[in-house]
Amino acid sequence: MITSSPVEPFPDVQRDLAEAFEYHRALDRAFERAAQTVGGVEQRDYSVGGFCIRLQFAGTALVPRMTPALAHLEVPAVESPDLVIQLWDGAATGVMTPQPPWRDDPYAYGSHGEVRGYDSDRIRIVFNMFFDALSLLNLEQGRAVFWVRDGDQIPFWETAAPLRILLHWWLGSRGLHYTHGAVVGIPAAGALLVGKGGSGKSTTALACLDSALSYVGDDYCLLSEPPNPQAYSLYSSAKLKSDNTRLPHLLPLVHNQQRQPDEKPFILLHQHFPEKLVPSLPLKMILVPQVTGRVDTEIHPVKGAAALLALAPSTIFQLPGGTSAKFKEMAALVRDIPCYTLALGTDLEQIPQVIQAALSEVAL
Amino acid sequence: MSSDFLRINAPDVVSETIDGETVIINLYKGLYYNLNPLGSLIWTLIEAGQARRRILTTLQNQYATWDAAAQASVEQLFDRLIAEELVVPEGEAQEQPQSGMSFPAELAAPVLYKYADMQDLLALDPIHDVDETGWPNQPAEVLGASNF
Repeated sequence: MITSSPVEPFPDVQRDLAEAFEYHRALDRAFERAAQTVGGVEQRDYSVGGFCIRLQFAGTALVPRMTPALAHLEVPAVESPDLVIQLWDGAATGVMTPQPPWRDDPYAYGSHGEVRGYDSDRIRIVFNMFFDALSLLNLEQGRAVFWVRDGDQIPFWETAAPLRILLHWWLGSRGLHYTHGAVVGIPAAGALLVGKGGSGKSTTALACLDSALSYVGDDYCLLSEPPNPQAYSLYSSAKLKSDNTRLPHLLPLVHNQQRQPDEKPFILLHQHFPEKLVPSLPLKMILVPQVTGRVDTEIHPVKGAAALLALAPSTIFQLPGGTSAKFKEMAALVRDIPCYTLALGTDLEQIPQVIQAALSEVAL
Repeated sequence: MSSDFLRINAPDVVSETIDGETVIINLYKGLYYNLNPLGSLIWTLIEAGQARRRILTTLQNQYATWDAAAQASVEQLFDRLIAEELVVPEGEAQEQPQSGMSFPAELAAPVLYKYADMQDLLALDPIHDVDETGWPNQPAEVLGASNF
């Protein structure tokens, strides 16, 4: 963990956007070379929040690493996708990226690896320093690039929730906001479970698999803006705690059975619980789980500020572009729909029952 | 007291007040906070451009139980907000009209709660060396990968 004190604010960066568009053209040429090297393009279309997103892979090396968590959203090929993302693996194709024009600027990168000075409504670029991956989004053209130096270095969390920053940026520009939270519900009403890791959010969502409740997502979902916000499914992955003592029956279903000690196990719900996954639900309540140690689960109204405290920081700090506007959107959400504390009991069977009863009331 | 006026340290600091409680985020530092009802009221008055002395007078006029300890607790909050760089002293401020201020029924000391558990999601060192391909060399833990 890095806890060093922040330095003085970065000096302002002024960049020529034309340089970024030119770099995108250079990446286009590199993608073509990569595709030629490995014998062509593998293509998949997905319906995400009502938009069609096409993934074009140079070869197949990245397909098993980047698509499993999106498989529940795959659709037959469409004529005109809204966004096309071209992906390639440097090690598998032998094609690296051209030298970035900002390479000699020591202040080029922001707190999430975003290239400063390009954070415009036209083009954005981010470099993931953990596993050496470049993402570029050209909003003007509805096109994007994802390059990774070596696909074998892609960590489990990228496979469980692929392309987060590209999707966050592009879907956000279309009024769908990437939100850190799980959503479960009944057809007329969904509940957004919010809280940082360890709050009981994922265990609650997974406990709902053995109930009548449907499942939109575990860790991230997309929310449209109030009034009448809708929650849309994004990934079918569900992470388990490493010890997973409370849901041991899910362990045989884990996708990353051969994992490193620091990897969280995750399951792909569309493979094992396809009937539970739904593409969207109308959002009618926010639940802030709280582990109590008592047997019974209870639900109590909670102030909007407490819900905002559980929702906003983990969403804003996980992704670049945390802004005043983003915070205001989340505040508008907690003002718009009722918020509750979900006091979690140790009897897991009660949890979905309590949520279902509360949702049935607000759906009336 | 250095300067009598304070201003919210925008744009790094953003806040929202809901039902008499305020949530504050420092986008640059990766820290977040909340204020209890009296702290939230004081924050709202700072946002409105009221001078520190005027805020103290407003509270003194509102609460019959106001005493030296209450005054000290509010002054401590001013100091804490400055130390956390949530507000900065300002030469003067343009006071905004305030209507319908909601005062907590009971006078309780203002409290600022601070949370630092998200800080490691941000790479706070902006300077990177680059390798021969032009991409930065950065220790993996900088991006807080263990949080995912």
